[in-house]
Amino acid sequence: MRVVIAEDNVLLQEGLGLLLSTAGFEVAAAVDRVDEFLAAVDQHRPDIALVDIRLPPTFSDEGLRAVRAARQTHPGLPVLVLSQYVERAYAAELLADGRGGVGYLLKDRVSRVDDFLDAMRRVAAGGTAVDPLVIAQLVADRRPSRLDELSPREREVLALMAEGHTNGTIAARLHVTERAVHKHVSNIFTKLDLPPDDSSHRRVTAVLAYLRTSIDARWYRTSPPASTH
Amino acid sequence: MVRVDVDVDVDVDPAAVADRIRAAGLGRVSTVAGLWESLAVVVAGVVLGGLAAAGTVAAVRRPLRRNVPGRRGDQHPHDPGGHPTARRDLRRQPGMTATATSGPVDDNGIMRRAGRATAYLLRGGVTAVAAAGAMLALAMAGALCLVLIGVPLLVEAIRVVRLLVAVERRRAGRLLGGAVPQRYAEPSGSSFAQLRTLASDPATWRDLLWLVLHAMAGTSLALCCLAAWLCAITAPVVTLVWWVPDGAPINFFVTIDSWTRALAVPLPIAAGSAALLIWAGPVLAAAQAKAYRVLLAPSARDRLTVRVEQLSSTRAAALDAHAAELRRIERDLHDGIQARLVGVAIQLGLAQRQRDTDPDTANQLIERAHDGVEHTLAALRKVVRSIYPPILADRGLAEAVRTLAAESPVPVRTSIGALMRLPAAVESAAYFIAAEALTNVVKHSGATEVTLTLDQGGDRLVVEVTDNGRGGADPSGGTGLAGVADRAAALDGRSTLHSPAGGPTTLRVELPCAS
Repeated sequence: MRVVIAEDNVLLQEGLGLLLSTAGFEVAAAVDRVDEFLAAVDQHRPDIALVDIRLPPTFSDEGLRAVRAARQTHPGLPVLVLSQYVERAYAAELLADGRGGVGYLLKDRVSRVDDFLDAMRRVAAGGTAVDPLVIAQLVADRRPSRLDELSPREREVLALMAEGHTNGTIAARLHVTERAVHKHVSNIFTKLDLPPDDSSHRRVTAVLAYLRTSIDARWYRTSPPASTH
Repeated sequence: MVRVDVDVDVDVDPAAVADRIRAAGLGRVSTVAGLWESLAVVVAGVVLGGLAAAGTVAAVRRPLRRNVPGRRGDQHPHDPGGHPTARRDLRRQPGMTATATSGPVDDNGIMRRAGRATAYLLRGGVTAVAAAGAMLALAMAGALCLVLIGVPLLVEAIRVVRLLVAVERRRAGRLLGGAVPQRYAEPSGSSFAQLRTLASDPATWRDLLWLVLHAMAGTSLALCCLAAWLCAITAPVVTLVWWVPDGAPINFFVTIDSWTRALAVPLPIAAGSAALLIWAGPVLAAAQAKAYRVLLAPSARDRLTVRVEQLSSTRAAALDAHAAELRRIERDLHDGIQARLVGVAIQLGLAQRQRDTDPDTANQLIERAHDGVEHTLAALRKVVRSIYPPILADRGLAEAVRTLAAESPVPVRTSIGALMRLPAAVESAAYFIAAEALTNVVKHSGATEVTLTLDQGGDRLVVEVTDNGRGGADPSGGTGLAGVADRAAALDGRSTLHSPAGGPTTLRVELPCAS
């Protein structure tokens, strides 16, 4: 599987390259600037791109913009975004096109190598990998929302779905049968007005709905959504 | 210039009257009473009366033309952008109220202006009499100071003078539009200490100077005004009743003993008096009020002194807060992050020693060290966020505050207006003020719902946090609300807390954000 890495910290760039090549990934290019990243994506057509959210010159959210630009020219390009901190607004922005193949993780997660590689593969396959901290932010949100219709168990299932886990993993984590998880998933789709369908595309939509229920619906009532920036 | 003396000497020389009329430019008049004289005087009277009448009519009509919409707005004290920033800042100072300068509040209607001027001048007469009384009281108290019992009396007398001056300030402010600012040193302690404070306050000496000036000028102007009114009203009556046969001839500066004189003397005097009241009255009243404003308002130097004191204290508070913040960050890094890393290093060192002898324990230690690193990173993120939240830098205040609201354990309803990107200091202050307010709500209010409003109106950013909790919040109780006030003050902003017992509590902070 071919990877393009965009990371300005040399140490981290080399570390990621080493880690991925030992795990059987082929690092097609490792760059530290947005324009180089876009060129590398055009040139190498990677199976997945690994991007740091903070890149030169302003070190704010250049990575996010680079990803948006890359996915505009290469729709559905799988991208895993790494950051020193996570904000669910960014997660929602990344997932906004509903195509899946998006990951958004803290840099810390790289140290759990197996989980990290698993997330890489899930994203490359069109799934999602949203950092548990983002999910924690959502769970902590006490404001009324559409998610209030979900039972506590269904919320747990949705949270794990957002992290990118399959029904099997979710069942193992929650110590229930896979059939029970399947039932919860259909309930979630119904309650969030999504047609009952177990495909990964639906799952992305549900996760996006999850992120947005708390962010967009009320947050952006008084100002335009950040995705139009 | 106009004196009311209805009982002037009867024996006025006709020649002198003629001279007076000639001096007034009425034309050539013979000293011999005759046809020519009568005609000339009548013509002169008619011309003068006509002029006065025309002037009055024009004056009455003028308001209709002047009263164009928008004209008053030109000088309105709240006209946005009409005042330089410096003045706005001065206006906010404690102990100093409202604008120093501004045009008349209402200058439409010359008759209304004349009426207002008359009222101002006549009331000024009353305060002038009071001022004269106060002067007397001050002089007596000053004399009694020689036997010491006068000291408290003098202090009280000066307080009374301040009240009188306050009345005068309000009057002048009303006439000119916009209040006349004041600033007094507040005396405290023993009578001697109070007297010392009062004596060293330039405002006291300004007040005393005003007292003397007003006792003279206020009385004279009020009397002149009164005289003009009496002339304007009584003169036409003289014209109407001079012929009533009761024996004694009427004197009105001159003896009125013919229709010629009845028309020629009182009517022009009435017209002149009315003209004086209409035109000179407002000018004199405004001149008096302006003079008092200059005299009674604190000088530019005094205002600058206040401003410098204020800036010094807010700067000191800002520096204190800054130092405290650095100490907190130092503690967080030292006792939190560094200590955790030391723990991780020890675990790794142990693991290294036991790698060969006890690989299982070594693996456990490595696993724990790994956990330790992750916790340390999480702690480091928290510290970074407490210094300057990354989302604030990346996405601005609105987004950062929304995140803040979403994380609050008490549900927060946000209402955020359209915000421009503001100076970093303002965004940061607004963010941490909102954070502090929400923390306070969670800790102390027992509220179940919070409303957070963030809006930018003109050149101010307003942060308002209202909760439905138990109220009774006291800024002196904890460091939180005091910190909010300090943050606001450091940026020349203002914070107000409204928290009656039983709630609701509203904290409103306004920050100037002109870039």
